[in-house]
Amino acid sequence: MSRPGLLAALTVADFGWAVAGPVLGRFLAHHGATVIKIESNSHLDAGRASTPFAGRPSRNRSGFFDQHNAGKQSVTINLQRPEGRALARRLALACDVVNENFAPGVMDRLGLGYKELSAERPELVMVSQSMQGQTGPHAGHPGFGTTLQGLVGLCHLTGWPDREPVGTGEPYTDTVAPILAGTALMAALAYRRRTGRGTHVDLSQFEALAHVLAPALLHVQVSDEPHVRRGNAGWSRAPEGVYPCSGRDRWCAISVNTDEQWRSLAALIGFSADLPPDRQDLAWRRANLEAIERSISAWTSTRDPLAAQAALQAAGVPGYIVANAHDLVVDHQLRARGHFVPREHPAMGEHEYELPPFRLKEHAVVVARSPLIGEHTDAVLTGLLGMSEAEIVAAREAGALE
Amino acid sequence: VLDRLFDGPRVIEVGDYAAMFCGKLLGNLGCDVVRIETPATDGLTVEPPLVAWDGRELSAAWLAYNTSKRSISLDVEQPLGSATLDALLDDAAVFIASGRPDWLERHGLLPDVARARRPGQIACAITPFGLDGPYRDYRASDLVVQAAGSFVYLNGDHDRPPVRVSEEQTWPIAGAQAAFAVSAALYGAGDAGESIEVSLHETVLATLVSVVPWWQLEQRIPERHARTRYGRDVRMRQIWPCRDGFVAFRMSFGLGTSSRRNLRLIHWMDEEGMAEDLLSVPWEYTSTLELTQPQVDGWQAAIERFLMTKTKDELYAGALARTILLFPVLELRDILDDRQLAARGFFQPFADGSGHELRFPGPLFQPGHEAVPVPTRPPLPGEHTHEILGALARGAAR
Repeated sequence: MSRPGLLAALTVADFGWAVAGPVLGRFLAHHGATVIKIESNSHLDAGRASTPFAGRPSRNRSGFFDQHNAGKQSVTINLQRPEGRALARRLALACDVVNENFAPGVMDRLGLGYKELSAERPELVMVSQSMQGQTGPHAGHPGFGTTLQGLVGLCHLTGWPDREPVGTGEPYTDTVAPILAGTALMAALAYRRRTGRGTHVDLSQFEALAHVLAPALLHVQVSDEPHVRRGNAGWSRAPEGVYPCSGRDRWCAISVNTDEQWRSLAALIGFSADLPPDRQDLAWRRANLEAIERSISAWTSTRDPLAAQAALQAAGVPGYIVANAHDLVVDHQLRARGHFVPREHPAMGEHEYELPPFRLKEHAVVVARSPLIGEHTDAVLTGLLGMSEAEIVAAREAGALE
Repeated sequence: VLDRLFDGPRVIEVGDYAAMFCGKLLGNLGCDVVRIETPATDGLTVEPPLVAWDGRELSAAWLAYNTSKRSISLDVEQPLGSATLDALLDDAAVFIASGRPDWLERHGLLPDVARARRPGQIACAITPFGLDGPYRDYRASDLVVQAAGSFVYLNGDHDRPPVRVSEEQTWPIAGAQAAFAVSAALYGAGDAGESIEVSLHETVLATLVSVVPWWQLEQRIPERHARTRYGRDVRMRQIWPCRDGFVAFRMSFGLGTSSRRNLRLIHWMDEEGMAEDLLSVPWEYTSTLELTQPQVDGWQAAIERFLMTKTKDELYAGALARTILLFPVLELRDILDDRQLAARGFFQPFADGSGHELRFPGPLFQPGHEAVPVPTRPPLPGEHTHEILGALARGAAR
């Protein structure tokens, strides 16, 4: 990794707030882009007020914010003031990319919309990630990632068939949409290099998830079979599930993909039936699932989850603990791959940051801490906009830098 | 003819759904993607659930994840197939391979092998747990990887085991992460190319919003909170029953626009004489930390009584008109009829050889002006074998 990051020459004006926008900005920072977060003390990014905190709650100590804004610079600009909006506009026009995830119309009202900015700088690339896109009858309808999952079908797909749907515990759309947005952004940058023209990447979080759920969306067009939550059961596997282990709320996930894996599992847990093991095919296992799952649970429930995982994998059976937050930070595989990297944060102390889920051999993958609020205001206004000390003082006195 | 965003760099793809989804995204953005069907992954073309297509039953996932590309059949485990793959790779900007590390290794499909011959190439491997580490060769499934990445632990009812999402997630999400890394390399790597590896396990961690920091900073383990969210100790509904199904809605508190939007629901309830005592709740001046469970349960019961008088369509229409932070809980079939997706031309009909149509997810995004990334129909498995190998032979003859 002798070379700088793949996006080392890129500058990004990051107006992202809460989750989806900041996540995309962080991905770009991992590739070495200069990502300038524009935020304000007078209208705080919800992330800075979100739990957990390192010690007493403070806008500089939110672990939630820290995770999604690692590697960025922070400039405080008050967008409620005309002087602030003028500065934000100059900053946006000085960057290659504008990143935002407000409800549609907000950037326009601030004078920072794509039409207005691209009129002055046609090569600007803007990426917007709203709930349902910038156009269409429902475009302006706001919401949370945790409730958007109802619209995209995830709620109905998560839970038990005999119970109400539960949905995912995490606002999944907020973290999946930025991956697709980032990919589209790279293509838009390649296009700009070739043609000199910018693009507005209007990514809808709803549509991003529809791409992921496309197989089921095809299937429901031709089948009357219900496509709903099935607990942990798979379409074409049995047994498959989450089974209790020793300890409070400890579980092990097990999937049997093949007949061979079933024979290994049956031997491991001492499962016996009248039919010889080599005739216990998928159809037979489905018909006898209750007895099989009882037998698996009897085996797992007396075992430590990690011991169960090791025994299953040694037998060639897909199995892993159902990891909780603590399990992740001590996970042998993640540790061996150097997934966690310690960095010193001036307000939060030393703690570990995560690498992105890709490793590169030729270019650097950058891992750095999140910024204090407004930490880079003066440096960015001087360095990127060429403002003098007197101009910065004047902007501050006008309340533009709150 | 509209421009494409990527100007047709050749991408060769082999492997499971992760490589497929990666190729689908790159194809949608203007890459010239060729998928290789090889005996080791042939099973995926007929993995249930199945869809009738061109007189045969094909895997819905295989069709859905193979738009915007061509397909050839090649046994990469045999010397002739392997040599043909090598020749194909000589003309390719990108090579994507996904599957178990031992399979990739045995058949020369690892990034560094491809790049040893073509140093400027972008090569990417996508594997369940990564190319190194003690669990490198662990067996995987979607459930097992979702569990390993802590996604499963956070979903479900308290009195039942935690649950997965009932549609496979880890393969497409890892494919998307690979597409992001590959496209960044297409933009930024220049002559150096890049050797990329993506772990499904780690892509699950990247979908978590703040799980690891809870342990790091407070030594707390976030637990599953079925249908509820928010507050450290008070449980609040997030999914609510209505007359014909469910809706998603979250009560909000504190100074901010969200809690003011609660009031719009309460006013709607009041119009119909169902507000009970909710008009007097000081949403804006209440912190979630001060709430008690009986208080919340009382408010929720009143809201639930109102929601039960309406269908999810009626509630969504009312929420749209009043800007209430409420969404319907849709089933997949409902999504096909969604007005917003229709207005954006999201679903794109493709017909098979007999004219039978299916609607596929269309553009990845809506661009502000030209360069519309419109997908093309999925190929049949191996449909372009003659076309592509023929072109390769003509190139070699020249």
